[in-house]
Amino acid sequence: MPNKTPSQQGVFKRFFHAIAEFLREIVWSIRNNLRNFFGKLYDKLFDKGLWNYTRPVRRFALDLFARIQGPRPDFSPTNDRQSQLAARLGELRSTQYVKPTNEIGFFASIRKFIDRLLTLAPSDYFNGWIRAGLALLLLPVHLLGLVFKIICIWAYIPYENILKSIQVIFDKWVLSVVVALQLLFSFGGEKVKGALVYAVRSVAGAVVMIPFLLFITNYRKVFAFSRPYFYIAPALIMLSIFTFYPIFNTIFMSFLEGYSFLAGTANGIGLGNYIAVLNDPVFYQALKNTLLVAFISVPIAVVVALLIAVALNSIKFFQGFIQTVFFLPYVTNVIAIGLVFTVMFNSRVSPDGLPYGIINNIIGIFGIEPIKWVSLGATYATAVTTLIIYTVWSALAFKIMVFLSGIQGIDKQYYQAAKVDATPKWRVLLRVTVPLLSPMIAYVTITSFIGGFKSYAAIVALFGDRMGPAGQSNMMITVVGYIFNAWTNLGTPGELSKAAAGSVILLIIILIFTAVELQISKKRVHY
Amino acid sequence: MENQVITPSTPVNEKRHSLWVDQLSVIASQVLIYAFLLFMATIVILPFYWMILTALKSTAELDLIPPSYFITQGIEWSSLAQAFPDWNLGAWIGSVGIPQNFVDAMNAANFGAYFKNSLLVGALTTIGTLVTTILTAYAFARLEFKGRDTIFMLLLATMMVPGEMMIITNYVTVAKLGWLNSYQALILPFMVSTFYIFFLRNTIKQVPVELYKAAKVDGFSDFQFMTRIVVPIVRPTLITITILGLLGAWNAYVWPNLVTNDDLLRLVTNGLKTAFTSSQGRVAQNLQMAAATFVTLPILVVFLTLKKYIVRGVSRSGIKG
Repeated sequence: MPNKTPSQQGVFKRFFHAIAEFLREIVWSIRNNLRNFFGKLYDKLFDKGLWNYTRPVRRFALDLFARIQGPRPDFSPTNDRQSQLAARLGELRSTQYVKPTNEIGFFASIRKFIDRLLTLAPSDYFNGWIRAGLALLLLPVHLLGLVFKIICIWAYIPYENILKSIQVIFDKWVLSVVVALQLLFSFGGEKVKGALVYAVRSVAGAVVMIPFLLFITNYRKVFAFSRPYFYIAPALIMLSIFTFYPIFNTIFMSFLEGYSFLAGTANGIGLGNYIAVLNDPVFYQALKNTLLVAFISVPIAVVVALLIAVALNSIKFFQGFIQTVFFLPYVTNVIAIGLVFTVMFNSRVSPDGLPYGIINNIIGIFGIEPIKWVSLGATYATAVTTLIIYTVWSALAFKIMVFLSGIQGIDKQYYQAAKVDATPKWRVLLRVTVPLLSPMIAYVTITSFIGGFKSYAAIVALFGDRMGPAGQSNMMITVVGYIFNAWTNLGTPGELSKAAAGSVILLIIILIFTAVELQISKKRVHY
Repeated sequence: MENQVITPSTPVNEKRHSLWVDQLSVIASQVLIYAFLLFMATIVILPFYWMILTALKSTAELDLIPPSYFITQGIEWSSLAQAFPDWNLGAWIGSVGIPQNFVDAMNAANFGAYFKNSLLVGALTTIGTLVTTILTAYAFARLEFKGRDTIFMLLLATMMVPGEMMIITNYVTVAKLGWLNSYQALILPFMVSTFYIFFLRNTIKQVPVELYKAAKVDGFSDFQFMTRIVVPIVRPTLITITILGLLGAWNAYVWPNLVTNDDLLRLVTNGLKTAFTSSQGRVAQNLQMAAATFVTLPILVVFLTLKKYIVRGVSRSGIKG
C-alpha cells in the first residue's frame, strides 16, 4: 500500500474527481455566462441613450401592445362555488409545510411568484412592459419549475426532509393549479372565453413586441447602419417632391393631350402639344428674341467684364472703392431696377419736341433725335437695344467678381516673366491673362448663356406682363415668357401641357448648347 | 553654392530708357485705366443715382427739361408716423423725417405687409435651407455610405434643368394641395438648394481629415463632429448662404407671382410690380422711384456691410446663372 504512487491511487476515486471537476467546470461556465449576459443586459438597461432616444419607439410599441391585448375582462367571482374555491385556494396558499433545510432561495421565490401568478391576473399589479414580459414568461416558468424539481431529485440524493418538502410543494402546486383552473372555469362560458382570449391576445401582443425589443436594445447598431441616410433624408424628401418628381411629371405632362389639371383629365397621349408649340408663330418670336438677346448680350458682357476686371487689378488707389461700385448691381432687385431703366429710357417729349428722359437728353448732346425706347411706338431695334443694355448692366457685376478673383489667383511669375521680356500690355492680356483665366471664362460663358436662355424677369420689368411695348404685345416675348403665358388662361385644357412642351424644348436647347460649349472649351481651355 | 542669388545680367545691347520716360508711360497708362474705369463706374452707378434722385424730386422739378441732375428745388419732407399709420410708432420715432414721396409711395400700396411677408418667408426659407444644406453637405463630404456618389451626381444633374420645368408641376402640386395663397407654398419648395449643398460640400471637403480622425479618437460621434467642429469652421460659408438666401427671397418674383394673388400675402417685389408698373395706369415717376428705392436700399445696405461674404461666395464657385 505505501508503495502506491498518487497516480495509481484509487481509479474510481480519480474517476469521480474528474467528473466532479467536469461538473464544476460546467457550473462555473454557466455562472460566468449568466453574469456576462445579465451584466450586458444591465448595461443596456441603464444606457441613457436607450431611454432617451428610443422613447417614441417604446411609446408606440406599448400603445400597440395595449391595442392588441385589448381591455382586461372581469375576473371577479360571482357565486358561492367561486367563493368556496377562492377560500380553498387561500387555504392552500397558507398551508404550512416543512421548510427544507437546504432549499435554494431562488427556487422558493420563483415558487411564490408562480403562486401569485396562478391566483391573480398579472395585470392586477403590473403594467406596461412587465405585463408584456410576464405574459410571455408565464408558460416557460411553469415548465422551468418542473425541470427544477427533476433536477433537484436527480442532483440531491434523497434526503428525507427535502423529499418531503418537495412532496408538499408538488401537492400544493398541483392542487393550486387544479383549484385555480376550477375557479377560472367556474366563472362561466363568457368569462372563460374572455379570459382565454385575453391570454391569447396578451401573448400575441408580447410576440409583436419582440422586434421592437430587438430594435430598442440594438438601437445603436440600427442607427449606426443608416445614419448617413438620416442626414440626407430631409433634403432628399424635399427634392423628390419639388425637383425630381416635377422633372419627370412635366415631361409626362407635355405628352398629355387636352390635359386639364384642375379636373385631372386628359384625352390621350401624343405629340400634339409639341406640334402646336412648333406651329405657333409666337413661339418662334420667343425663340428668336431669346437667342438674339443671349448671343448679343453675353459676349459683350464677358468682354467688358474682362476688361474691367483686368483694369481693376492693375490700379492701386481707390481699388476697393471702385470694386464696390462695380459689384453693386449684383444684388439688385430685377423689378426695381427695371422700373429705374424705364424711367431713364423714358421717351416722353414736351410739345416742342424736348425729351424728359435722361438717356434721350444724353444722346441729344450728340445731336440724335429723341428715340422711343420701350414705350408706345417703339421699334424692335430700340426695344432689343434697351433690353440688351439692361441685361449687360445687370450681368456685369457677377462676371467681374468671378474674373477678378480668377486674376488674383494667377501666379505672379508669369507677369514678372512678361515684364522681363518687356512684353506690351495688350499682349500680356491676350497671351497670359486670358489663357490662364480660360476656365473661369468658360464657366461664366456657359452659365451666362443658360441664364440668357432663361431670361424672363428682365422682360417683365421693362415691358410689363404684355412683354412688349404698348400695343405690341409679345414683341419681346422669350421662351420662358412663352411658358408663363399659360397662366394667363390656365382654365383652358391643354394650356399647361403646351407650357410643359415649351419647357422640354428649352431643356433640350440648353443641353445641346452646353454640350457644344463643353466640347469647344475642351479644346480651348487651359486647365 | 546653395544660396546663390541669380541676378538678371544686363545685356550689353539693351535699349536704355531714361527714368522719366519710363515713369511717364506708366503714368499715362494708369490715367487711361482710371479714365476707363471711371467711365464704366459712372454707367454702373447711374441707375442707382437716378433712382434716388428721382425719388427725392418734387413733382414740379420732375417736369424740368432738361432734367435736373441734382436736387435744385428742395425736398418735401414728411414723418415716419405718416408712412406707417397702422404701426403706432412712438412719438420720438414717429417724428423722424422722411421725404414726402416715400410716404406717398408707402401709402399707395400695402408695403408694411409686403416687408413683413418678405422677411418672414426669407427667414423661414433660409433656416430650412441651412438645416438641410448642412446635414446633406456634411454627409456627402465626410460620411461613407452606399450610393453616395450616385445620389450626388443626381443632385448635380438637376442643376442643369431649367427651373420652369419644376415650376409647372409644382404649381399643379400646390394647387391640388390647396396651398395657393398660403405661406407654405412660398416657403416649402425653397427649403432645399442643390447649389448650396454643392457649395458647402466643397467647403467642408477642405476641412482637414486629420481633424475628423482626432475627433473620432476623442470619442466624438459624427453628429457631434459636425455641430462642434465643422459648423464653426465653415461659418463664413454659412453666412454667405444665409445672406444669399435672404437676398433671394427678397428678390423672388416669378414663383410668388404665380402662387399668390392675395394682397396680404405679396412679397415686396410682387408688390412693387403690381402697384407701380405702368400697366396699372399712369403712376408718378417720383413715387415709382421712391418705391423702387425702398425695395433696393435694404439690399444695398446689406451688400455694403457684408460685401466680404457675398463676394467670397460668388467668386469661389459662382452663383446666379
